[in-house]
Amino acid sequence: MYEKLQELLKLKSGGVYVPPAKLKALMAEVELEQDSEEYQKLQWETLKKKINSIINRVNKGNIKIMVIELFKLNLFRGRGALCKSLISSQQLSTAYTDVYSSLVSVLNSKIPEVGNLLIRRLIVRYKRLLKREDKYGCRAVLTFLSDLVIFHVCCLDLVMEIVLQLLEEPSDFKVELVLEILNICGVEMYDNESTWFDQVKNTLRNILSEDLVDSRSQLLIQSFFDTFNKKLKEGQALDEDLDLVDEDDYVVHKFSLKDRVQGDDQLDVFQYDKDYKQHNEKYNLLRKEILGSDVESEPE
Amino acid sequence: MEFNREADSELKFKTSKKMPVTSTFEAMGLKESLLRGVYGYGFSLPSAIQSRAITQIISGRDTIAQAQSGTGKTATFSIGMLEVVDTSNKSSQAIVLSPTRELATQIQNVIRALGDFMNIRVHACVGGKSVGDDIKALSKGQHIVSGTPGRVLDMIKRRNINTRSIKMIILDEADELLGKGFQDQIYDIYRYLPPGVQVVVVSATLPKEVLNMTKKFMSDPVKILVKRDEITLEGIKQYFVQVEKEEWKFDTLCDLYDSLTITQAVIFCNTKKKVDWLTSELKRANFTVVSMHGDMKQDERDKIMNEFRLGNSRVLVSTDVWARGIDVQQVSLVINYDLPTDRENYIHRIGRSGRFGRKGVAINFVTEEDVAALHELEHYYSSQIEEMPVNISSIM
Repeated sequence: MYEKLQELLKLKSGGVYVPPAKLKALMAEVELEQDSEEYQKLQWETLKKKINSIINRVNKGNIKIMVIELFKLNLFRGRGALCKSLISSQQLSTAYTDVYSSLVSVLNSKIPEVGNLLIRRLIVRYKRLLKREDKYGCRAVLTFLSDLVIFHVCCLDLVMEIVLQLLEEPSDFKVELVLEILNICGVEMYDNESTWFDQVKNTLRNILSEDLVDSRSQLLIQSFFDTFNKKLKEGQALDEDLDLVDEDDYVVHKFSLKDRVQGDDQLDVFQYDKDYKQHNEKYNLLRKEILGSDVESEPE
Repeated sequence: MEFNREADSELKFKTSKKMPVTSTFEAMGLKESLLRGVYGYGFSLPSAIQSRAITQIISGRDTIAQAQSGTGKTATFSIGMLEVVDTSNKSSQAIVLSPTRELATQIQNVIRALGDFMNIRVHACVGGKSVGDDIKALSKGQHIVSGTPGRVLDMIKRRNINTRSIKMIILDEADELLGKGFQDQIYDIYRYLPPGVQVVVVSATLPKEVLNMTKKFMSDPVKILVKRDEITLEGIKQYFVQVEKEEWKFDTLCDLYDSLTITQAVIFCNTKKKVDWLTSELKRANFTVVSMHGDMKQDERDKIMNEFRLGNSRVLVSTDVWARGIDVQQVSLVINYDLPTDRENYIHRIGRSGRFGRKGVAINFVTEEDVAALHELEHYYSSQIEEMPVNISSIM
């Protein structure tokens, strides 16, 4: 049996992709002790894959099913992998930001560590990408953060701070980022911090009249003013299919740009856990609390 | 939306001499209302083909433009056309012809978005839709008509499209349009147009026979061409997976979803039956999926394309009917569940990902019988299709 395991590990690190049917056949012949490192490692790989697969499939139409699928997994152990999958998916296609944010809002209401870690990672990422002047990267991160504000996972103060920081020395690049935030959270800001918001609008008007940015950015600012008034009239509401958390269950994380946050990247790699069973049982209890006892727990 | 500038700068144009390159949209002298639409659409700087072809189209010269998928061809002729159209005049001034209904509808949407601030009226005139609706829309006056050859010809013959004021005709995917199926209709339409009408020909591939044919109705065209060898779909990484047996394909597909980051994917199969089967398997695995094949009615196909473009479905399973020209921005992965039987279709299929300079990935499933066909594809496109590495998460 030990040889089989070696063969398996060799195949997996052989440099060439092996179709799963072949792996499965080998896996079936391998049995391992729960507290052995090899067992935990294989379980960890499976956990990562299951999380990733769900993030690849989740959508407006199936989000409720996918949320339950996720809760069945040990999200506490997998929160690093979860945030990693979420961030890379959202970066690749910002069009799904609302779906991911909605998903996070549900998970966060039960396991706040998820939202907390995600926001910390987004802040770290934003700071790094801003330094590099990576417009597309920054834009994706800010879209995500702004949406997390709308979905009551992240506090409004954080994005307000970012807007002010970007407007200190406005450039074409920074103005575009500000507009991205305002397009998503503008109404929220207007409702809660109207004086502050008026100041921001004045700053933008100044940028227009002083000719501080190129004509493209000027046109974008103008289009923002045009569409924003329309938006105010119509009012802003969350998509019904994505508005899944009761007001009482919101867990809003407070962060400031000044905080020295860490992304806890070590969570993304396998770590041997000597209290593996105990931690699993603890999560099983939480899962029962969330999903009710009639939901079958995944063997882990 | 950003183009792949690195790849762009490597393109070698076999182009008419002294081709001016205009490096910003402003320098093209576009009217402000159009410029607003261009920026609003997400463009900031023109791509290689745009910086060369738009000003030529505006100047009124006959133009042949060839560029690979995802370099902004549709926007090139749309912007050129919108600059030339006079919106104070209600009559039809430009016609765009495309080989498929989806493409014609999509072009209509691009034109509408780019012309958002200039009150442009554009109508999609395609087969499968009610003739009565077309007549009604056309009688209101449409500056631009985007359509498939059959229906457009029909509307011209019935005099619902008045050709007197047509200044420009655009043939998109011209290699298809000038092939056997459409040739006669194209010539017929051309005969109805005023003498001296400007002709613009656009395609990803332009075989010699087609280029020769353009001589019949174009006068001293300016040419902006890329040699065939260069259409390698830069920016798209191509891989193959030895799935060995047909039955192993589905497991492999699921495994890819476990390991890669995939926002939207298009999966190509060779038969309608396979499309149906795969779609139902994916649905069972809780994928949001739609499928498309040639037997479907027009409104059904429109609905499906729309679902996919809106992101309501993350997977589209299709036969080759979908392979050409349709552009959905966020597709990051194309999977050839079956290798295409026609090698020209390979480039059209995998050109669905990586549009506008996004990184795209194409993965080919190869059974033991397919190995020879795969090598032939590699050879034909003189490009390398690598075996997928084990750390597949690093490729996306």
